Amino acid sequence: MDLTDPTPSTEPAIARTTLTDLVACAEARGRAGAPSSEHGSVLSRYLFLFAGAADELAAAERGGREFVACITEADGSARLDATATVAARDRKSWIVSGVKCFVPFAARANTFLVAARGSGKLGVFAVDARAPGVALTPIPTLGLDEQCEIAFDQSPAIAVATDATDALEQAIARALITLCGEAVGAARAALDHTVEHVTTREQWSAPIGTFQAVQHRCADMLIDVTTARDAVYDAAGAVDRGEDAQLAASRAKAFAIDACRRVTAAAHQLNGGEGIYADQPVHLWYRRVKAIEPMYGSPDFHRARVAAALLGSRGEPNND
Amino acid sequence: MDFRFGGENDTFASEVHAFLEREMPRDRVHADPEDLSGLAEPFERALLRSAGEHGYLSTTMAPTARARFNFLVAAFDAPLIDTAVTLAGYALSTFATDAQRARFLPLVEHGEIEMCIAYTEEQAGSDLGAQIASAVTDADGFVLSGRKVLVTGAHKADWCITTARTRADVPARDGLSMFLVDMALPGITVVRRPTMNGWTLDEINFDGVRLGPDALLGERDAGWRQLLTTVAAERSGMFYLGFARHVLDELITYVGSASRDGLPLADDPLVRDRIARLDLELAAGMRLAVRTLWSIEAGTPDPALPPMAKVYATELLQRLAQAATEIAGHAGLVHAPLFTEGAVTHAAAGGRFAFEYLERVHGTIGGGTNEVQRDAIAQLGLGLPRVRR
Repeated sequence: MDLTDPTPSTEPAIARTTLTDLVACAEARGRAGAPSSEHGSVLSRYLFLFAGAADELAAAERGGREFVACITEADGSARLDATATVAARDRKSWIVSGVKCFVPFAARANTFLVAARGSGKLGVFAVDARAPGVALTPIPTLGLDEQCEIAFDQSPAIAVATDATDALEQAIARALITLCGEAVGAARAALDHTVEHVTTREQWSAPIGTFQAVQHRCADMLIDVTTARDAVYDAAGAVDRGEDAQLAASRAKAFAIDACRRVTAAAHQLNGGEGIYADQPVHLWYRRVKAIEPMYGSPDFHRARVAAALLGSRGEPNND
Repeated sequence: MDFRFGGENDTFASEVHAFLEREMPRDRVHADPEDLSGLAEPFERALLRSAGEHGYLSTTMAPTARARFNFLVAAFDAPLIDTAVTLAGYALSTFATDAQRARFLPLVEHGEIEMCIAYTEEQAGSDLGAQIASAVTDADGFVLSGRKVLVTGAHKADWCITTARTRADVPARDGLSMFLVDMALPGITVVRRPTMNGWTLDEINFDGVRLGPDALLGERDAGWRQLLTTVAAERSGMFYLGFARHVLDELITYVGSASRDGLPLADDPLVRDRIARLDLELAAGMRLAVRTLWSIEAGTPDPALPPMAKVYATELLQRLAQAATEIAGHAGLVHAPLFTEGAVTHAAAGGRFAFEYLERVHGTIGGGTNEVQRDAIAQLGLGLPRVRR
C-alpha cells in the first residue's frame, strides 16, 4: 500500500491514517495469499512517528527507500528487554554488534532499523544495508517470506532514538494488528475457495457440500473467520480511540491466529487431494497464517499478557 | 526410541531396528526431495532388495509383525512403507491365479519390483464407483484407457494394480475389474505433479494400452468387491504412529536443549503440559492400533477399528506438527526437506517441524478421507443407519 498523499500536508500520512484502514488493506493482502513485507513498512513508519524521527519518516513516506526493522533475535523471543544486540558510542555516531533473526525480506532493505542496547536503554539504530560488518544469511521458512539472519559486526550506525522501548512497543502493536488482518484475509479467502469447491465438486452425484460433515466444517470455518475478523477490527478500533495498543494487539493476536489457523487447515481438508498440489492456492493461505503465528510473540506469549492485564503482572512476559 | 511395543523380548523389532540403523543414510548423498520418501530411486531399490534378503517383504508375515515393521521404518524415514508387499501383497495373495502368484510373489518378496496402486480418478475420489477408465475386451485380451490421479510412486513403479470398467452398461459394483499392468507398456504416460511439500504425486494416462488376458487380477467384473476388501486391508495405521514417535522424540530432544529468554523450554509449564498430552495420545494411538491388529490375527476383525485407528493417528500427527511448530516458534517454521545435509540456519529439529506442518495435511485426506472413515465408524462400530448413496 502506498501511504503517500499527493496533497501537501505538514502531518505525516501515517498519522492521518487510521489503523482500521490499515487493517482493511492488510486483509486484502492476506486474501492474495502472497507473503508480504508491508507490515514491516507499517512498523517502520509508526516507529519513526513515535520516536519523533521526522526526517526518516519523511524519507519513508516519500518512497524509494526500504527500511526493514530488525528486532527478533535467535531464540525468537518477543521480549524487548531480552535484546542482546548492543550499540556503542563512536564519537558522534554508533557501532552496532549482534545477530538479528527471522527478518522477512531483509535482502530488499536499504536501511536496517536495529533494536539494540546502547547506554543502558533500548534504542533503535539505522544501519546502511551495505555498511561494513553486515552479513545476511537466508533462512528457508515455510512462509516463503525470504527471511534472513542479519549479523552486525561493529557496523556503523546512526541513532534514530536512544530510548525507544515505548516507540517500539507502540509500533509493534500496530504492525501486529495489521498482521492479524492479513491472517483474517487469508482465512476468508481460504473459506471462499472452499465453499466454491464443495459447491461444485460432486461425489455420489451430489455436491460434497450437501454432506453434513462438510457443511458443519464449513459452518465452523465461518464462525472462526467472523469472530477472528471482529476481534482484529475491534483491536484496531480500540487503538484508533486511543486505548492501550499493546493489550489490544495481544488480544487480537492470541484469539485470531488460532481461529485463522483452524480455518486454513479445514480448507485443506475440504479441498481434498487436489488442494495439496503446489499449483493450487490453498497452501498459500495455510502458509501465510502459519508464518504470522510466531511473529512478535506466540499465541501463548500474548495470552500471558492478557492474563497479566486481568490477574496482575505475576509472570507477565514483558515487564522490564 | 521406545520401539519394543511387543514386549521386552521383542527380538524381531530389535533386529529391524539394527537393520535400519545399518542401512539408512545419515547424509544427503541419496536425497531426492521430489520423491515422497525423500530418497533417490537407486538407494530405495537397493534397500528394498536388502529388506527382501532379510525376509522383511514376506507376504505371509503376520499382521502384527508387518505393523511393527511399518512402525519402525516410518520412525526411521526409511523408504519401505509403500512397498509392493504393502500395496499389492493382499491383492496378489488373495485374487491372483497360480501363474500370477508364481510370477509375482518371488519378485515382491525379494524386493525386485516396485509397484503402485491406481484406483482414484479425477471424478472418482471418495466415490470410487464413479470410475470411468475402461478395459474393452478384444481378441488378445483388453484395451485399457483412462486417467488415474493422486498415485504415489507411479514414476518409479514397474507394475501397477488398477481398476477399470469391463462393463459400461451397469453400475461399477457389477462392471469393474482389477488389472496388473506392466508400466513399461506402450500407451502409458506418467505426469509428476509437485505437491505443496516439494515431492510429486503422479497421474497415469492409459491411452489404448493393450493388455493380455493374464493381466486380469481376480474375477472379471468382480473388481468392486475386490477393491473394497483391498482398500480395507491396506490400513493398520501403524506407520503413521512411527512418524508420530519420531517427531515426538525430536520435539522432546529440541525442548530439552532450547531456551527462550534464558529459560529452558523444558521448564515452561505450557510446554510440559502439551508434551505430556501428546505422549498420552500417542500411547492411546498405539493401543488402538494394537487392538486392531489383535482382532485381525484372532480371526475376529472388527471393521470399525481400522478406520478408528486411521482417524486417530492421522489427526494426532496434525496436532503434533502444530504443537512442535508452535513451541519452537520462529525456529519451528524453518523448513528443510528430509535428508538435508548439514545444519539448516536457525532450524528447530533440522527443519523437520515445518516439514511436518506441510506434510501431515494429506494423511486425513488420502487412504479414504477422515469424513468417510467417520461414516464407517458410526455405521460399522455403532450400527447407526447408513445413508443410501
